[in-house]
This record gives sequence, structure tokens and C-alpha cells, in this order.
Amino acid sequence: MTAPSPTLELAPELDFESFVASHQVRLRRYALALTGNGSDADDLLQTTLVKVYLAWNRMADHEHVVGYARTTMARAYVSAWRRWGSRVSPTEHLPEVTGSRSDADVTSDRDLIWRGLDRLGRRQRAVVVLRYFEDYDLAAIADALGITQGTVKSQLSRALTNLREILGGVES
Amino acid sequence: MNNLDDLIRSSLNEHTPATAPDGGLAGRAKAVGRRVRMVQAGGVALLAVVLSVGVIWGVTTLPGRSQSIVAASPQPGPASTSVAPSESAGSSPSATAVRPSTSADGKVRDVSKLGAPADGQEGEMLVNYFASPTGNFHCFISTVGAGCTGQDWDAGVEPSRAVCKGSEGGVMGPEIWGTANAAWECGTDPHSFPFFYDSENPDESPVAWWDESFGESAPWSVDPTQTLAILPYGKTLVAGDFSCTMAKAGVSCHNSATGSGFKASRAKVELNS
Repeated sequence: MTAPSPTLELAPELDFESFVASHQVRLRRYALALTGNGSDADDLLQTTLVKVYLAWNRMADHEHVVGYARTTMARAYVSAWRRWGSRVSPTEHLPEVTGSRSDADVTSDRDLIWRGLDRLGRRQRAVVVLRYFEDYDLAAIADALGITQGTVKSQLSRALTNLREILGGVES
Repeated sequence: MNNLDDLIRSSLNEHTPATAPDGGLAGRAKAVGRRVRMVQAGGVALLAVVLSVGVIWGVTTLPGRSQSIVAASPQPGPASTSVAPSESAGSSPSATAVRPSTSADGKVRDVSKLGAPADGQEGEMLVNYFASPTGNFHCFISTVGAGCTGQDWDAGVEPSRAVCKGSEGGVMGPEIWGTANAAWECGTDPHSFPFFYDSENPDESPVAWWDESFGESAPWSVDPTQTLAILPYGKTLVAGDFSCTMAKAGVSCHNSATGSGFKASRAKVELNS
């Protein structure tokens, strides 16, 4: 008779719940950055967590589950042509930004950027969010979205050009 | 660091406030996940029953055929799931699925009446997605349009975005809509997602056209956790006036009412050929 293995295998479902408890706040913020509104963020988060749950037992290394969840969420967002693609853009008539810049102007600029993100395509928005919210480098963004680094560069460049235009020429 | 970078970072942080943890979130995700597993298990069980019946039929009715070996296509991987909670919760699998009609020779399948609801250039449509056997082309077909996005093109095939119909983004691939001629389409988001998704309503699956007798499947090289729904060489999908045919020389889509269409391969794209 052999001694019991000293390696304790946690019950998969307990692990999953611990993961959700530990990371759901950050993942929901990430979902909100991608979708731009709370209800779509909740849908996207749940879709992502279902995928993570289904893949849980196949994951050899749960240390990378957060990265898997981020990648899954970004791809689910970009791939959902219909569900997250028909939002009404609130940026149809953006106020013009002119004159010298005060603290209030900077606050206004942050609002303009947020609303301006709705003008971007989903892939462009995902690239911006991964770059500036998750601090991914170009290679990591390409890996997360399953696209080439060249495509990441061009999408990011176009997104920044669009956002600059929205701001009316903020210095960059 | 520059002003725009700082503004984007601060804007994203400011507009994504942390909310109170949702104690029921994990439980709901698990509940949906379990339903998905049940649907998958049900599908496998149904397949097993069908295959068993086929084997028994072959053994008992075909003289001199003691064994019937069925070469099944690879199963769509479970990691290819994409579950829409709003679709999954509270609904039961459709018992009256509309099945596509297939020609007697098994080479042409009509998908006019099934597919995933999507927003096309001319309003809502039912769309079906499919991939080429190499995985290079991801395509869609509906009763109002068809098109393909190339993952890679040989040098010189992909035109400047100046030729595109769309106003922004990069070159996606050739598309044909309504009675218009085929044209290169621009955009920032891919139009075709030929992957297996779990749907409790098979009529609304974006790969509703697919079954093992007509399609093939393979892991997507870019993301092997996703499984491509492949239209094999020699097969054709039809939706209304539109049809798309897969050949070793490339994928072609046409509008039979206008005669216009396109033929695309990695090495060459012909519009309105």
C-alpha cells in the first residue's frame, strides 16, 4: 500500500470560485473598458467566465488563468459581431475643444476620450484597451487577439489618429 | 509618455470604477457551463446512437459487410464555446430545428432559412460562416450578401485601402452585397467567425450549415482552442441568390440574379468574374 500523495489537488469547482472571487472586480473593469457600458460588460464577463469554467479542468497551470481570461474576453468582444456591435454611438455630436487648457478641460478631455472610444471599431478599441488599460506591449496584444504585430501597429495608429481628431488637436 | 497616452490611461481608469463583488457570479457561470456540457454530451450521445444504428443497419442488411466503419470528422472542441447567457438562460433546445436541404449528390446545401441573426448592410439577415480547408479564408453567406476575409495574401494581392468601399480600417477582403458588384471591403473588425459556438437553438448557430456529412473541422492555427467549421473542396453553400463554392483554386461567391461575384485565392482575387 502506498502512502497518500502529499500533493493536494483542490476541487476544481472550489478553485474556480476562488478565481472568480479574487479577480472578478478587475475583470469587470476590463470588460467595461471594452464594451463601454455596464450591461454589456456584465454579459461579456459572464460569457468569459463560462469559457474559463469549461476550460478549467484542461488547464495544466492555473497560474496563467488570469491571462487566459483576458485573452478570452478580448477575443469574445472582438468576435461578437452582433451582440456588442450595434450600440448607439453617443459621440455623434462632440463639443469642440478650443482655447487654453484648464483642469476642467482635462476632465472634459478624459470624457471625450471615453466617448470617443465608441467611435472605434471593436478591434481598434480592444487594441487600445489592451495597450493602455492592461499595459500590454505590441507582441502581447498580437498574441491576445490572434493578429500580427503589424496589424496591431496599424490598428493602434488609426485609433490614436481618431482619438486625436476627436480631441481637436491635443498635443501629443 | 505623451499627453494623449496619459489621457487615454486616465480616461480608462476613471470610467471603469470598481464595483462591489457579485457573490453569485461564479455560480451563474458554472450553471451555464453545466448546461453547455449537457448540450455537448447530448450531442455526442445522439451521434453515438446515430452511428450505432448505422452500424447495426450495415451489419444486418448489407450482405458480405460484416463491419461498417464510419470515419467521423473531428469533433468541435469544447474550448470553442461561446455562450450567450441571454440565449442560454431559460430556453430549451429547439425541437423543430430547420434543417438545411442538400442536393442529391451531396455537394450543394441551401442555408437560406437558417443561421445566426446579424446586422448586414441592408438590415438584419441570417448569416452562416465557413472557413476554407487551409483556414486562410473566413467567409460568410446570407440571402443578402457574401464575402471572405483573407488571413494572408501573397505579396501584391491585397490592394491599397484606397480601393475599399468602407471609409476606415484596413482591407478585409472581397464582398458582394445585394445587386451591387463585388468589391473590396474595408473595416476594422472581421466579418466572418467560422467557429463552433454553443447555441441551444441550432437554427441560430452561425455555423448552422455544418454537420459531419457535409462539413469538416480543424483547430484554428492562430488559436487552437477554437475549431474552424470548414467547407470542403467541391462543396457549395447557397442562400437565396447567393452561392459560395470551395475549390482548391480558391473560394468563389456569386449572385445568380446579377451574375456578379468574386473568386479569391491567396495568390489572386478576381472581382466580378
